[in-house]
Amino acid sequence: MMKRLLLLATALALMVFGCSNDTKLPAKYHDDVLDQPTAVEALLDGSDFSVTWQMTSTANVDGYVVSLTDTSGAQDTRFVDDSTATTYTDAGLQLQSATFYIIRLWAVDDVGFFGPTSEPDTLVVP
Amino acid sequence: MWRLQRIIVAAGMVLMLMATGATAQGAGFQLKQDQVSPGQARLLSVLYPGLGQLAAGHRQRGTAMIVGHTVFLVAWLSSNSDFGTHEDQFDLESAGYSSLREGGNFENAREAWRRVSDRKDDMDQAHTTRVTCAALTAVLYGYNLVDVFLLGGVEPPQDRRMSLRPRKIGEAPGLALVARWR
Repeated sequence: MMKRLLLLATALALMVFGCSNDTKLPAKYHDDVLDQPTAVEALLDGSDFSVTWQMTSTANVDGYVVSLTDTSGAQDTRFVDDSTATTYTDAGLQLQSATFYIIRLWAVDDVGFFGPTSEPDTLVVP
Repeated sequence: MWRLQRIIVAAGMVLMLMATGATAQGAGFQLKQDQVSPGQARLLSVLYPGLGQLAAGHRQRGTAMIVGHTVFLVAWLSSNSDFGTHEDQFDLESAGYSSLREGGNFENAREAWRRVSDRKDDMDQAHTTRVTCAALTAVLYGYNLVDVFLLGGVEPPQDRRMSLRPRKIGEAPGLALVARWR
């Protein structure tokens, strides 16, 4: 009698604890893979456009994307193919006069993942 | 999963019908008043909690166990199915998050991570619910076994001073109020 009850109790315990939940969250990569550029400053000297930035860490960085967005929302991007760069200059950039631009920057790794976007800087073309 | 649930519920209904003791014969009903033996009642209770108690004449206890066990069983199967749905959604969101590593961007990845985390929370909650329901089902089933094997839950009930008994009135089934004096 007791053996039968023990057998049934074991079967019940298996039923309850057999419902396992061993699912794990995937590896959280997006916070650490690329650093966020800081201290972004855009300058316009005549027709020479330049932007500077700082990076706390250049780990996994393959390059940078510089983005210029005008007041109509049109976006123009330039790629900086140098992981150690902290400056981008373009003497031939055609900027519209009397226009307000928002400059943003982000790092890119070798598989094309875009890191967090920097705080925007503004540029007024007289 | 739903097919399994239907089979279990159907099996439970068949067992309950077996335990009622009323069988249809011809145009009318014939009342069976034969008491089942304790061994048969135990077997019924092992098959489904409360059936043996009901067959032995413990109507309230048997009914309570059948209803309780059915509720817990259905809740368990439903929560198990719910967990499976959340698990599928989690797998989908998780795959979406991982795919963003190849050519995605930080903002989309952060949003995908939030969705993955939400699905994981939902899944954990569903898991807690199903384990609780399974535990309640198991506890009630275990108590049912203890009742029939150790506490005499399938022994014939003591005669009460007043009771309702099934009686045939002519060819039709009926009830009789039975009173006893000592």
